[in-house]
Amino acid sequence: MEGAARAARADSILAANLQDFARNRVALGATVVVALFALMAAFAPWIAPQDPYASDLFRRLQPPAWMEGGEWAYPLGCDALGRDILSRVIYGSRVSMFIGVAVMLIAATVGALAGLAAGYLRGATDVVVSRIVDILLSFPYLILAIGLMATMGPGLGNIVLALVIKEWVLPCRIVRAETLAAREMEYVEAARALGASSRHIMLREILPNVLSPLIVVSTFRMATIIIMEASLSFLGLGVQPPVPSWGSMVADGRQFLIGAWWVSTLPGVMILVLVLAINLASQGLRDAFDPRLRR
Amino acid sequence: MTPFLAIRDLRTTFHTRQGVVRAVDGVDLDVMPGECLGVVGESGSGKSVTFLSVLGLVKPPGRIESGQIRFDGRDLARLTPTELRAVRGRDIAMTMQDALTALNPALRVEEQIVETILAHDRLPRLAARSKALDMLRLLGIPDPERRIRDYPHQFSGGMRQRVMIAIALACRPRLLIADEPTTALDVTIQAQVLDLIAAMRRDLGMSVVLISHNLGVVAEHCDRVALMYAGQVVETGPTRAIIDRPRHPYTQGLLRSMPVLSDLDRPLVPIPGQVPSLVDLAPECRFLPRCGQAAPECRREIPLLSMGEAHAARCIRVAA
Amino acid sequence: MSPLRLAERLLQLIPVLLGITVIVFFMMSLTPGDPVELMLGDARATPELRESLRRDMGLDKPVHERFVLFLGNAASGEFGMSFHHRRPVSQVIWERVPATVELTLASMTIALVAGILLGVLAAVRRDGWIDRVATVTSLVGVSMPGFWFGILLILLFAVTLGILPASGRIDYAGEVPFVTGLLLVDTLLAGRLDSFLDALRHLILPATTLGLAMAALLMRVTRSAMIEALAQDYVTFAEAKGLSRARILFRHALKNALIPTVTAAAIETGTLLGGNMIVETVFGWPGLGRLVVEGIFTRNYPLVQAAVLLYAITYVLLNLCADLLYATFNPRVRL
Repeated sequence: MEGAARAARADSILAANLQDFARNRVALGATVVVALFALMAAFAPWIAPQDPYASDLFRRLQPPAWMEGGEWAYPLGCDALGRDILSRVIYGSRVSMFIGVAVMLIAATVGALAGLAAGYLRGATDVVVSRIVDILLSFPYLILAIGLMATMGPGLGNIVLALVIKEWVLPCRIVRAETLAAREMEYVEAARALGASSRHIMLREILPNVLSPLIVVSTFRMATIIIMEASLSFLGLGVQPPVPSWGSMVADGRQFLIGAWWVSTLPGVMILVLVLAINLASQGLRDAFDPRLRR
Repeated sequence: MTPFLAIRDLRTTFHTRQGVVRAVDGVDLDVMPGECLGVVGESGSGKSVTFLSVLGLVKPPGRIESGQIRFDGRDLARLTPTELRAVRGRDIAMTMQDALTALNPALRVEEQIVETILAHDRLPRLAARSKALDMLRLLGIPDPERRIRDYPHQFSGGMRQRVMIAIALACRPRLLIADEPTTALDVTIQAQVLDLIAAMRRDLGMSVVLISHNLGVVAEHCDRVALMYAGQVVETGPTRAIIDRPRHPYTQGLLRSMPVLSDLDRPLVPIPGQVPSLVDLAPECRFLPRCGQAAPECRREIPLLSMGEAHAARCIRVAA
Repeated sequence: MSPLRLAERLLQLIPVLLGITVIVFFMMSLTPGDPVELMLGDARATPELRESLRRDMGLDKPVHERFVLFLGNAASGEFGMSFHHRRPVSQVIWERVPATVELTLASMTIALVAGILLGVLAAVRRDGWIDRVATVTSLVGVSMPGFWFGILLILLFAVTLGILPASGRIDYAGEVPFVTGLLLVDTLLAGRLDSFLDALRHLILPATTLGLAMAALLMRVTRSAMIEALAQDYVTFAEAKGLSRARILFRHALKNALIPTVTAAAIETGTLLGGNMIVETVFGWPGLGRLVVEGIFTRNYPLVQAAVLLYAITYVLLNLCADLLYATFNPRVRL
């Protein structure tokens, strides 16, 4: 049918875009870095040299291995409870990657469905969705998340929920705008004339063709989501101790800045590197998918 | 009579990834005091780049490779940026094809005209403003005291073109370069704007270079015409001579592709083919691939050959 | 903008503000557990006291009546008592507002000046070393968590070099009478230059931390908008008029380039307001953000509720200002 041909064309465009992406060395390198973080999260128990929860009071604030008083069994030193920082950093990637991926996927799904419905059905659906979007946009992100975490209490599931509540708005806006444009296209009108259901048109005809912008905006958002989780955990509203999260590790080390700088700074490096890699990879993706946006 | 602006062997190139584009390749042109010179060519013929070079406005990756631009006993190609800035707008002014894009959308007309005056004359602001009003009035803009406070988008197309010309003429330049002054306009307004430029030339005693792709427009208003093709001048001479006795096959082709009022039934014949790429040009006549009269002798560099009466063409047939 | 359009624009705000209030109200009403218990925390209280508290807070009424009550109270700026402080919530909040305003304004200034200046320089010297350095810096800037950047600044300037203070707004010795609450203003009003410099020294690190992400973003937006503007015909025409380079850059190109920059800055103030909480926590800045974070841990829900509402409304109003500003930069837009 028409829809299948259209989807196949969208597929081949996607393939061409991915080839473009593969030629961008910076973006490719960044993608490899993100993949390494994902592997680190998946295989944390096998990679970590020590038990991230085992505290050894004799190793309290032990410096990194290259400094005096350090030892190679604890390469990045130990925190205030004598726990191995490297192992905790490795385990910390699990929280960041899980939240980043989970929130991104849920938000993209919810946002895409809401955007499709608002853009295609118009009428009351559009009014309701657009109003909710407007209201959510008028909340500063971190403040909404902090308010929600304050009332829902800490925990991994609650973080996901608190972030998704605002995060679906951006994919929704993009998909809605694209759907509004697609709605007037011939292939959609043809499908409608052939008596296809609204559901079929939205999911089979329009969705494949708004996938590129959705993917681009979602990958960019993952960087923000990871910073948001780290910020919540830094404030003590995110993942609760003793589970290691980069944000809370930075917070824990604050009192020891004088004398034990490594406790606070090293976990932050991980956040920076991961977020930077995601941003660079997303930029490559955007350039490949939408040449108009290139500088 | 000595020329007022003399361009000699001007070469302007653009260094692009595809290679060196020879946009202007050995152009010689003279502008006499008070005359109107028409420069005609298709887009990409180098007519605009030639005069952007005169004002030093060619931007990277483009640059003036060699040549002289003598004006007032000075070589503009060798002036410092500061010296050149003093020439621009004051001695030589320029208007662009479309006033909608040439005027800054974010600034009021008042500021755009007054700043031009103040860039060249030490005047009190109020004096500059009243000069600006005079200029707008001269260009036939109704109610200038009120309109000067407007933004460009608030004017109609024809009025906007007048505003741009008013800005260009604000410092009473001795030479106006009008780059495609009518292309962006409705046919009904085209004539008005051209007549206005002609009137200004008379009233202010300046020279005008009229750049156009339309030989008809140029023929009507100019004393002399230069035709450009692929970065070179291919034929130049008094307007009448060019119209009556065109010698270059390109000129002949252009005339055949134009409607003539006296013979509306005559078929219009377009020139076949297209402008060659300006990268890696062979040392031969550049019109060769499109020429119906090509001969083996055309496969070499051909100079401008004079036919007397200041009429010259870059074609082997001139000598014959 | 005509007064009529302004009125229309203000009317559009009403549903948004109402929506915000609904969300904030339900956010706090859905809190698991009895609000009175949560509020009292470990404090001992007789059942009679609990009951009267319940009545004071309107908890004995159904949800929709409570919402109407809340709406009325919110409109009059009344949010009940803060038990932790033993004073009205509104009073506690207003005390902290000036510190946050001063910090936010300072970081906004830093972000606008640094972002726009670097963006213009990078665009003018496109692909030169300034452009490369600025592009890399801005990429790192948007990728860096604010709290961590703040800690790095403390480590470098306070702990290692010892040239700037790591926390607080001013030294005790330099305190001046309260006038506006903005110390940079109050110290000058009191004629205390030493205090002014001290307050400024305290402000530098937190304001830089808060402004970094916004500066990075504005730099990128300004750069690409300037590159686009400089390629426009009106720049060539301005050059042909013999204008100076400075005038072309800062008047002709920048005025157009600022249109997207202003929009981006308005959106980014949301990040700035949220960032308050982080930066005030890192630098022990006695502002609203830290008050909220403390309020969460002391389960001071009326206070958190009021502050979240205040932040959201401020953000909406700032966006309105940006729209008005947008119209002055872009005369083609008639709001």
